[in-house]
Amino acid sequence: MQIDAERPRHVAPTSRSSLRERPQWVALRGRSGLHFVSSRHGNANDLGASVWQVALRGVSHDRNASDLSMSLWPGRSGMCVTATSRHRSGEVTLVHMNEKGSPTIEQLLEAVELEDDLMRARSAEEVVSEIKESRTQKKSERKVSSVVSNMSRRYDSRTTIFSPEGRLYQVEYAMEAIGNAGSAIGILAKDGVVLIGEKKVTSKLLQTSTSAEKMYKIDDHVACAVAGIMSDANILINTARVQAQRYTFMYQEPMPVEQLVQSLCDTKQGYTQFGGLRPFGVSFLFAGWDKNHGFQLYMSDPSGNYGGWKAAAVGANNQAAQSILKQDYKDDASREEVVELALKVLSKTMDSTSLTSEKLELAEVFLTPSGSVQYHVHSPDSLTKLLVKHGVTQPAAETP
Amino acid sequence: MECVFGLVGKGFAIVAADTSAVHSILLHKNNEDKIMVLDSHKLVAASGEPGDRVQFTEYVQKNVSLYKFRNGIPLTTAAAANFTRGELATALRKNPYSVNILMAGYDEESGASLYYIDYIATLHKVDKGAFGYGSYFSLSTMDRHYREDMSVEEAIELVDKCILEIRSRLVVAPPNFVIKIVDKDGARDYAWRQSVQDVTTAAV
Repeated sequence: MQIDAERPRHVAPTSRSSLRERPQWVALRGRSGLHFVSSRHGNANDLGASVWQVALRGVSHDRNASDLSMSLWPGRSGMCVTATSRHRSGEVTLVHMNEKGSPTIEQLLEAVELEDDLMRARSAEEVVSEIKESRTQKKSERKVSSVVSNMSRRYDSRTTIFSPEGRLYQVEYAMEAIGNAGSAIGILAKDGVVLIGEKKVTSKLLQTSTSAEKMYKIDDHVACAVAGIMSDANILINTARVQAQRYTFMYQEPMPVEQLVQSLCDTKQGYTQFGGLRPFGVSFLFAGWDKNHGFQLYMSDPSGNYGGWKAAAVGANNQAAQSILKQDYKDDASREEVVELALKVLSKTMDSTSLTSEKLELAEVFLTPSGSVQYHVHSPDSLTKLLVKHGVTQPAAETP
Repeated sequence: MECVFGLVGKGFAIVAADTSAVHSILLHKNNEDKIMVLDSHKLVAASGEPGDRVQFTEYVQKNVSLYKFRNGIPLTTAAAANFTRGELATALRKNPYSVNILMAGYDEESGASLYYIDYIATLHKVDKGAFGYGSYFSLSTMDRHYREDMSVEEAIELVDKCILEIRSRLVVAPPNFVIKIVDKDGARDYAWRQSVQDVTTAAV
């Protein structure tokens, strides 16, 4: 029995219930079409002990209570209930009634099948009479007879609480924000790391020589590509730079790349656990070299998780890019081969029709012959040459 | 009165320290080990205020361990020396530690090294170094006889010459010394040089 836990459409109610009495009958609908109907006697607190009659669309009912657990919360116009099954939990809509009148289960089921646009409490009588009315009406004119309260919105507003399903919504929403940002791809080569980013802000008026949008140098041996909210990224980049210098001040050595990533991710994690501040809406791709592990590529996200990757993508269409990379990535490729791969993947996943050097930023991290780490951002000319060389440039559509 | 000195040889570093625990005119014990094994390939020979010496060297030792557990890799000798110096510098204008340290270590990439760190956070990478009144004698002796890339035997000969000089010329010369070595096989005891041993007399 699967319940879809989609994001609810409505704004969360925050005030206490306007009901004066505890509900006796509760009918619920899961988002994917499951219906939970219960008859409950006694205290609202011992819901979990009831036996639930489950009406599924087209499926028989009478599931065991142990499969389900329910929590009851006050909402603006009624009681809100969250259902959790053994498999997954879901948000439910709720039909709300008081103890005057006790509709049959069939009537309740019908009630919840109606569209749920309005949010107001209704007595059981009202519901029953409305059902009778709606039977005489055309389906398109049926009125709403259910109260909608969406549980998940209750857990949106604060980062520092879990939802009943064990999710941190603010962190997930932060990741959504990044899904709309310009993509960035990082790939590990045998002799370096290549980072490529898609610029979203392209305008002739933009002073490209002085502003970087996607790539930043953290220390002499570490650079990063950014996807997400730029202002958040600036704060974190500064934090990373300070952490790297602090380490070098203490130990007179460059900070190992993983330690830098870990330390930044510890900062990000703090914003998901305490302080009441929202998480950063940025994902990073860190590329660097140290004497312990050579060239490394790390990806980190707003939750504060990070991983070491051979090839990774963040930002828009990152899943498509990741799957192409999974097929086409080869271990121990040279930097030129990796640049070609990066350009090809980006050209396939970018939304825009033409791929020009103005829309891209390409950077490489590698070792010079003398052994020092070099971070090199390609100039627009060099980028254009590479695009032509690898055959991924497409001319912009000619306007007549 | 406290004598600590050390030198770097071919693929190893040796440090020697006296082993007297002194309080004013009283000698508490003459087998106090003042050379701490910081980790598998580092030694710290410390002299100074007894309480500060133990407190500070243990603090450094635990931080070096913590780094290794957190990050899966040990600190290099240079990094550990710089960390130690940083801690002394931070404490200097608040509650200074009266501890002088000779840190000897062996790293795969850079071989054996010796660092001179004094109580006001001076840091020098040296081939030979010494602290205390004994330094007047041991440094001069080492200046006279030290060569680059000495073998262990030659280095021990030089250390014994220094100990002899301290014993014969320093008015409050400590009677006993401990010598420790660190090389690619790790940090370990080498020898003790004892001229006075604690004697337990039977009850009459």
